[in-house]
Amino acid sequence: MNSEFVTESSMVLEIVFWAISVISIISALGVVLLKSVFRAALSLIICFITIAAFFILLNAEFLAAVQILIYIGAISVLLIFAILFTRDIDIQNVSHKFNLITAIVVGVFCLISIYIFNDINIKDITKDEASYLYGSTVNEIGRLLVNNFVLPFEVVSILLLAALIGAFVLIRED
Amino acid sequence: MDLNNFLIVSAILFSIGLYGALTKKHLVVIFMCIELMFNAVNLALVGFSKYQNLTLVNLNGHIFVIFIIAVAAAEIALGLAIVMSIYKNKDTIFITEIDSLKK
Repeated sequence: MNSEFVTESSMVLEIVFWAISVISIISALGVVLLKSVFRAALSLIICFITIAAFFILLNAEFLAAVQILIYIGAISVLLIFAILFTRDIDIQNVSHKFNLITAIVVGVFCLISIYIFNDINIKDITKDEASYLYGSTVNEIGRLLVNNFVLPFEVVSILLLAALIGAFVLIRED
Repeated sequence: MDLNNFLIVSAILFSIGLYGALTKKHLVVIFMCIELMFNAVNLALVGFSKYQNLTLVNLNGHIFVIFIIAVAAAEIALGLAIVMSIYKNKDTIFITEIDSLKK
């Protein structure tokens, strides 16, 4: 792999990164600003897809697949079900009266975060040949899940079971 | 394309989600904004996991993101069940009209 190819491919990656960033932020703004709740949900799905694209850029292919399966496949469908079951004619994506103050406070928070994150100086060490992961991340994630993190794994399975039973109890007809 | 860029995008997404969760009246939209904040945090965690300063590859950030996604799925299932039951009982979805604890 010669150096010319490396610079060209990293420039392509830069362009892809900025394109995904712009789409992601615009669709996230759409969730907040669009008038129709249903369109806001569709905009949220676009934002989920761009997050999956970010995961692929960060060499996290397994997480990108999980993001698409769970967020786009399951959570979005649940949200759209909830919107369609509870829809009235005049229900819209409205804010209450404190939205200007909240916008100022959150904007200041955002600017401070950007200022702090701009100073972080961590180089991309994964460009070293030695630290590349061999193959995909799935092997390593599976090994970690059944070795170091086996207790949280079991606790999460109990949590999911409890959430399933709880949702069923809440929603059933008496 | 350094860690800074991912963290800045993550901060912007988190701020948008925070603004929506604090100002919206519609319960489902509040849940959507909370999901947006979860996604921003996941993005930051995966970014840190890639750019950490270790010689060996370490995927603890990825594991953390998997657990966050599982908890978010449980949260959204229960939350939407609560939304449906509130809508059945009170016939409204705006949080400004759900105030029976104040009376």
